[in-house]
Amino acid sequence: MKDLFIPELARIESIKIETRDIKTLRFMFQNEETGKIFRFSAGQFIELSVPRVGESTFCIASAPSDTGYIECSIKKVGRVTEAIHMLEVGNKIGIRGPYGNCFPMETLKGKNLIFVGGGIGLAPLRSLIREVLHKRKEFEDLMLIYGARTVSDLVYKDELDEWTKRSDLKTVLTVDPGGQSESWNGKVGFVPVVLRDVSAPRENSVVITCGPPIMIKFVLLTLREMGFNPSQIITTLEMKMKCGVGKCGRCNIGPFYVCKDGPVFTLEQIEGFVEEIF
Amino acid sequence: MGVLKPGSFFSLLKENGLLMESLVLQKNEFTKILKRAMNDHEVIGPREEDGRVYFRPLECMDELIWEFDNTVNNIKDFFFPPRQELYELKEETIVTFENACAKKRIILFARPCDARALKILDKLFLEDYEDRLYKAARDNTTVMGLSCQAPDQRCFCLSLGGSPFGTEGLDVLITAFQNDRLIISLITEKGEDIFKGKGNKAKQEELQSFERVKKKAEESVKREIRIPENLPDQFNSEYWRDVSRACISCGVCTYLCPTCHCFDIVDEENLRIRCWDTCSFNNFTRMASGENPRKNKFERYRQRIYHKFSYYKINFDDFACVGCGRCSSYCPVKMDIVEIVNNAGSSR
Amino acid sequence: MIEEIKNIAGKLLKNGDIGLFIGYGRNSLGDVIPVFIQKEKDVKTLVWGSDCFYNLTTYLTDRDITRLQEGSIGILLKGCDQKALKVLISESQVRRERIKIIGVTCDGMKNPDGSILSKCETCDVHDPDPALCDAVIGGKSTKKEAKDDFADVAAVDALDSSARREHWNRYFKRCIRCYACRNVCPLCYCKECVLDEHNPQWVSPSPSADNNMFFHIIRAYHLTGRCIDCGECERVCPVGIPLRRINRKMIQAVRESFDFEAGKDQKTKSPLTWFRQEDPEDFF
Repeated sequence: MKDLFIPELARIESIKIETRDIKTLRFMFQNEETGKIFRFSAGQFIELSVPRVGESTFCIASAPSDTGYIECSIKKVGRVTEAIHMLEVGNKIGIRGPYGNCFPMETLKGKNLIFVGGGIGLAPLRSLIREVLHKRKEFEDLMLIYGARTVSDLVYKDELDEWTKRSDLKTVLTVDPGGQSESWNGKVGFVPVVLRDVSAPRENSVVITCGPPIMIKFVLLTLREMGFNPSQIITTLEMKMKCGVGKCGRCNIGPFYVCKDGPVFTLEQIEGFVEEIF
Repeated sequence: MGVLKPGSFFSLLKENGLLMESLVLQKNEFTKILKRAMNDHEVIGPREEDGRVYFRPLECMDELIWEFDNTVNNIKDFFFPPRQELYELKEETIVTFENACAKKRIILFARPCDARALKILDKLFLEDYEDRLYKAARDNTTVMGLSCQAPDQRCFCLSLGGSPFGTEGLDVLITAFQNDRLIISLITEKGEDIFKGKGNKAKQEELQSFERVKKKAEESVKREIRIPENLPDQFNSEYWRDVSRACISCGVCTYLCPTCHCFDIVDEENLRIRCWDTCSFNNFTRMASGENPRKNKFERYRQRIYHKFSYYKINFDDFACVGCGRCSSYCPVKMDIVEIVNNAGSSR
Repeated sequence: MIEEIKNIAGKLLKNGDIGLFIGYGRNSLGDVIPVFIQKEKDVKTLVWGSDCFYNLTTYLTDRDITRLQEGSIGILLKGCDQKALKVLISESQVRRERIKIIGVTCDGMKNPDGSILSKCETCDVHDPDPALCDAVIGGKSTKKEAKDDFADVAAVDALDSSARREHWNRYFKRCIRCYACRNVCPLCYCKECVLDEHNPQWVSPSPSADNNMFFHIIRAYHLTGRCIDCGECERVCPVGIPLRRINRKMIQAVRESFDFEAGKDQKTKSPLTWFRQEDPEDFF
């Protein structure tokens, strides 16, 4: 049995520049066998290693049904992410995982799904949205409310374009006040505010939200006001993680380890700790 | 717990101190046995360094200290070391350290509290993604305990389910007796193997003497930690701000604690290293973006208390504390965990 | 003396002159601990004795204490602690008008076995400095200081370089990077210590003898010309590293090179923390 700290080596197949500080990298495992047996569910994450620099946690942004590769979107904020941004196609990277729990696909089936994302928070949601779209018939109405600080900060621009054109997914895009460009014809306003104005169905719905802590804080408040109850709201938490397997203690919050009991949580589960996190 | 395999019932009884076989051995006989064992074992025991006692690998049995209160470090160092090499990157291939802990080891004179901590750590390191390095260390090590006949006034093992004569986590428990004799209680097979055919079976009056000394030691542990039932409800109390003021957010309590186990993973050139870390440090939960869920000192201190006395209990059904008292003895500002926990329930 | 201390602290709190008083108290085990008193009725918990070693000045740069505190802060300081405060004031880390300093005469602190602390034997500030303090307690001390001959530093200097490396390696091997020394030090107040920096990572956090030596040397350099030898670092080290020896080497070097001693007055900054146009540049 392989040691839990040893990564599998993978090759960078492609790099897409999303924004000034976010890139989406596509990986394929060096060892074909590993690539074949690597299975994950939407919401899970991996630990990416840059040799000689370090390791960092990233949610998988591609869907399980996107076979043959995995994708992660990386925002340049620190040492490891800076190093990742300097890598090129063909470079090797280490992957440990998949770790964590996942979005509860079974519970989501047959429901209206409202995705609320901000900035890089769209990455884990993208995995879920893509998976849901792969199996569209199993879900009811779909709505995506997504915003970023400025137009150029929106991630997955090409995909957002595609999704906007779909009739089976209502896409509402927004940028923060002041972030609009001349050609912008989406909404202008913070995500929690736009959420309030859009008529999101409450009956038989589940809201899945991910974004910067401050956004999640206000989204949760808004959802509360709109009458959603805690069991209808799912979020993915971000805490600093290291080992990814619930041993190093870093992501411990309340009795939970974000890497083991999460990163996907219902609001019901984390209600007691909302203040500490957000 | 699962189905008990045949024979394991007796092991279970033995491990819990029942049905133990006890030998009596002369001190010099014991020393001879260990000297011989040094040929193919690494022997670790309490050793003096500049006036303080530490558990260290021994060069020879003469270094072994027989009488000491408790050591500065504890035996977790040998299962979860302060710095551990995980693997090396050599030209894009990963080289693991297969022979980490290949040599068998004997740890001498672990106090029952320190040994009990191993059982508590096992739950984290061995369940759900087994930690291979920790497991190899556990499998390859025989832990010989030294009973505490004169427990320190700061100790509070009893109120946490331990005892100065406890056997949890030990393969053998050694009790010093008059006339340079030792009573050796054999707890597991590993322990039995080392002392096979040695010494004499303990006589009835020797066993009675043992029980008397044990009882006296247990009765002398007066300090009690009383974890409040309503601890979960006290999370948002101002109490944590008040009691944590003196804390300087260093790592002494964590690093000397037998049950603390948080770690960091860093790269040093081609080596990937695991090293100790502590939730007390102000950047423990700090993310690269600068966001820090526990940037205030009281939040970190509260996390430490709750992790030990609430969360670990919820997740692993054990308090992450064995009552050794090192945290308050070595704390630069003498924060007293017993006082702080005992008073937590009655704060508003 | 303790009654006077309680009196003054109580009055300051009662009048609203201060919102917090930092002094010494005792826990249930009898150990002296730092106490933070916000209500007049709690001044009865204050103690004073020969085991009050803590340098309470360190709390004046603790943002968790100072940031949310309304009003001024009162603090009880011995002579050595006052030196640290002078350095902090000279470096603009503490606003003098926000602190009410109660200076107390100290005849020297004692170890649990009754022996006097070695730093106290060569102390020349047994009496509180009336120019610094808002109030002084205790008369003139009867203690006569012995001259500090830096014998501990000389002993290490006498070793040749490989013996010296051996000497320090022996201690740095034991270091567990708990950072108690750094955190207790009143002059290590950087919000982001260079050693905690990840990007770039100047020193790996893992405790190898080499990494540890790097840490201690960096810290010694950052304290050069600023350390006032309160000895807290050495007292708190759980593995008994003789840290004072390192800092005292630098204290001696600064004396010889700059004829400067930290903590003598609150206006003069350490020579290594500022520069003038006229500074010699013959080494460029």
